[in-house]
Amino acid sequence: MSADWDEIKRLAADFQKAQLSSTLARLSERNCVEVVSLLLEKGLIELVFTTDGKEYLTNDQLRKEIEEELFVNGRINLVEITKTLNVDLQKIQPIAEIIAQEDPQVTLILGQLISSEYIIRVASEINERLSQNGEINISELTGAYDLPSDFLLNEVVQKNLGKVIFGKQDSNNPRLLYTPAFITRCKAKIRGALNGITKPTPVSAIISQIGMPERIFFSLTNDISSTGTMTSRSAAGVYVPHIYTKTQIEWVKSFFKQNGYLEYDSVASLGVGDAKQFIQKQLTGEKLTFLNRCVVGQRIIDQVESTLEESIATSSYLDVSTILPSAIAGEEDVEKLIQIVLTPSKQRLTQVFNNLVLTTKYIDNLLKPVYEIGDVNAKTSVDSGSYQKYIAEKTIKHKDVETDEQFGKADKRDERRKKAASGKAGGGAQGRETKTKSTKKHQRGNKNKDFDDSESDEEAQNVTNNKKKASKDVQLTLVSVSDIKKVIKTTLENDGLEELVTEIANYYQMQINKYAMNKAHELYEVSLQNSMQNRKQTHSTLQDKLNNYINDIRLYEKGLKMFTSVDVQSQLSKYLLKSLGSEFFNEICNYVALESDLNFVSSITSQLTNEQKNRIIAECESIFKQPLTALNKSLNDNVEEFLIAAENMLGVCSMILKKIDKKKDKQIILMHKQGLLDQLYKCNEPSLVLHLACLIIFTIGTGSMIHASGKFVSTILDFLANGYLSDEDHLLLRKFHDLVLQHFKADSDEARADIITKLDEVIPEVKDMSANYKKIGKNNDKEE
Amino acid sequence: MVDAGTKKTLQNIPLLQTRASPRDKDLWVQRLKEEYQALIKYVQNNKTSDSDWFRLESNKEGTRWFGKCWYVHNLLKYEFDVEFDIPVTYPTTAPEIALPELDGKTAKMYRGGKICLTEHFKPLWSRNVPKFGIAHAMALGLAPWLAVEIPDLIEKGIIEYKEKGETSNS
Repeated sequence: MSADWDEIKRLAADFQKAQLSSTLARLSERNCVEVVSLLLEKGLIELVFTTDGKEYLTNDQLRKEIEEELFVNGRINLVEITKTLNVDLQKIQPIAEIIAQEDPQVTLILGQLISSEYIIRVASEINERLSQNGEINISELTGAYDLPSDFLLNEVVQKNLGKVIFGKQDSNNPRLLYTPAFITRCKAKIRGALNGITKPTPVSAIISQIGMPERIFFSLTNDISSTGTMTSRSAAGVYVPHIYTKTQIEWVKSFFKQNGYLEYDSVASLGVGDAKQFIQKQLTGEKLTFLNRCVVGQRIIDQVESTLEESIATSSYLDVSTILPSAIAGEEDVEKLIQIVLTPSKQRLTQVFNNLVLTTKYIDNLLKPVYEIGDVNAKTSVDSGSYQKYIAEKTIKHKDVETDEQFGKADKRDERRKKAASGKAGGGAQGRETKTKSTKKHQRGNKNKDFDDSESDEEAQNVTNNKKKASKDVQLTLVSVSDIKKVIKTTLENDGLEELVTEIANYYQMQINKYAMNKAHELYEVSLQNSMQNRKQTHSTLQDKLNNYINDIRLYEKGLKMFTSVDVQSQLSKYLLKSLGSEFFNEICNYVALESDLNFVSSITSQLTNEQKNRIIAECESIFKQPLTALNKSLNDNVEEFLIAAENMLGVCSMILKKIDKKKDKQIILMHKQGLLDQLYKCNEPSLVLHLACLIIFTIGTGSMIHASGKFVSTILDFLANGYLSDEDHLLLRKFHDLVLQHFKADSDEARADIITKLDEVIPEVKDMSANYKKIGKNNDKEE
Repeated sequence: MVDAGTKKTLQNIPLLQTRASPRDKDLWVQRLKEEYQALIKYVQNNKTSDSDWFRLESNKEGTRWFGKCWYVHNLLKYEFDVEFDIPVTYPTTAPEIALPELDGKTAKMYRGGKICLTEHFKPLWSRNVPKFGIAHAMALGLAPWLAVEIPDLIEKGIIEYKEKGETSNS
């Protein structure tokens, strides 16, 4: 225990001893720092601290270290030195500046120290690179060396150019360096490319082909005296090789020489901008004709001309396109060419259709049948009246426009129209008359429209006529295009020109039509004259007929006056008026009806009913009305009245009543007698035989005619017995008369048959008697 | 934790093995021996590293320790008396080092001049019971306290340099 405490004591003593022992007799780091800082404070020494503050450097040492670093690396970055030397950049910077200032071999740039050795090294590197690539841009080097391009250019390249770097500086851009070899290589490339080019090529294409920077190309192409021209029309510029132009010219010349023509298109496709001008420039010696699409030489024109002349001589046709090269197929061009070739004198002999030159002779031959058709058509149209209608329409149209000033002219036309209209009914006398009237009416301008309509309705069938009715100028197509086509088609097809059928037809249709119209006009004139005569004739026939009626009536009247008995006279005259008078009235009525253009004209038959007559009287034109009523009335009166009325009527109808001619009367009576005799011969019917015999005997006996029906037979017989007949004859006739009466009155068939046998016996006797009857009776009478 | 320098010094102080308070008679002797050996070693270390900064001695039983410590600031040596008792519960409880001179001059001090140790000290100590001894307490507790507080106090003018006869023992 105590031992322990002893030990403790000893340890305490040791502890004290340890505490009291002197501390180590050396400067601790802390002291050193203190001492150094004190020295620095007092300005006794100048030191540079390392960044960690653990070391001090003198400036000289620092400089030495920097220089050593520079020597080793050739180029040092000040920032990097701070790391390697462990010294603050602020301390290094001034020292580096001092070094750069004092040592001409060292350059300070961008916080870097660079030694001249390093520069030379860089220069040689650049040289190496240059000789490898042939071309170097300094701006590319800045990246590689991390140096400003100005420094590289001024310090590195230019100072060493010719010494270390063997190359050539670009005159335009000093930053570019080439080796002479590179330049020559480029030149060779360019020359090769340009020589190889045969057609205009954009420069950009050339450049991309040879893979060369544009600027080099442009700076070098000027040096190279290669044949060719560079134009700068486009932004890129086009290189036009000399050989190309030469070939162009050659081609143009040879083609023209060979073919005699040149197409603009083909020239343009060679790359010539203005083909026309180019051709003109190249073919100066030639006589050129510029067409729309090509140029033609004299040779072709001569050729065309001679062929044309030949075809004119042979009066055939010429398809110009066949002798021309196919290139000049364009219609305009051919036309132009034809125009050139066709001199006025030749023009007269030809007709041009598209590419075809037809000689007039050829066409004449071709159209001959067509003209024939024209003739035929003209004739038919005149015959059918369509031409007349056309003329009428035309005049109407004109009439509408014209004023009344041209009265005389209008008159003339009116007449013509009348004639025209007359044709329509196809020659029917009455129809024609009506037509004339209607046109007259129209002329007065009353029912203009109605008239037109009715006309057109009637004409509707004739389509060709109406085709152009709507237009102001009424046109009549006598020869249609299709007609012409039909005719000329075969001929043209034989010649292989069928495509021209329509064209020729269209072209000549007018001409032919005109011809046909003229023809029609001629024919119409002729027919007009004919129809004038015709009309006159019909009018006069009617007049004659009516005259005859009146004459007959007059004569019959005379005959009936033979009878002494007034009663018989009036009976006879009544019968006369009822038969012949009403027939006369019939005719007159018909005439009036047609003349007045009454619409039921067409329905009128030759025998008019009373109703129709009344209607005609009511509706006829006023000038006819009064005489017609009078005439109608007189029919119920005596013959004399009737004759006066008839005379009036005829006057109105512009007919002349012939004067009484005794000679003629006698002739008429004779004729009448003859007619009766003829009838008698042929007749076997007893009553008729009796009637005729009586009439004949009366006529012969009295010398005048009698118009009586069968019921007057006994009266006549009585009259004849009075001195005109011998007794036997009289008895014979009496007997015959009685038999006839018996025959009518017979009750049974047997009696009738009996009578008939008796009659048959008598008839020949009666006939003989009548035929041989002579006026002797008078003598007998005198004898008696 | 502790700064690198402190750690280094700490490592150079031998660790103790005996767990004993002054009440444990024999074991305390053993412990006291180890304490002394550690202190000697620490002082030797300090001397070699030119960082000797205290003088300590104990009573006979080794329960009460007293001495001086100093701190050099701006080339001036400030010296203070230092004293502390070994607590009964030692080594579980660390000794409370006191600088009676500075009592009431700084906030980082308990009544009677006991310094306020850093918050690191106590857990470090309790973790290293019984390995840490007086030497450790000095190195780990007082030295950092001085390093922090003294320049502050000097600057505030609370303590002034006293021209004393003995600045150094050399």
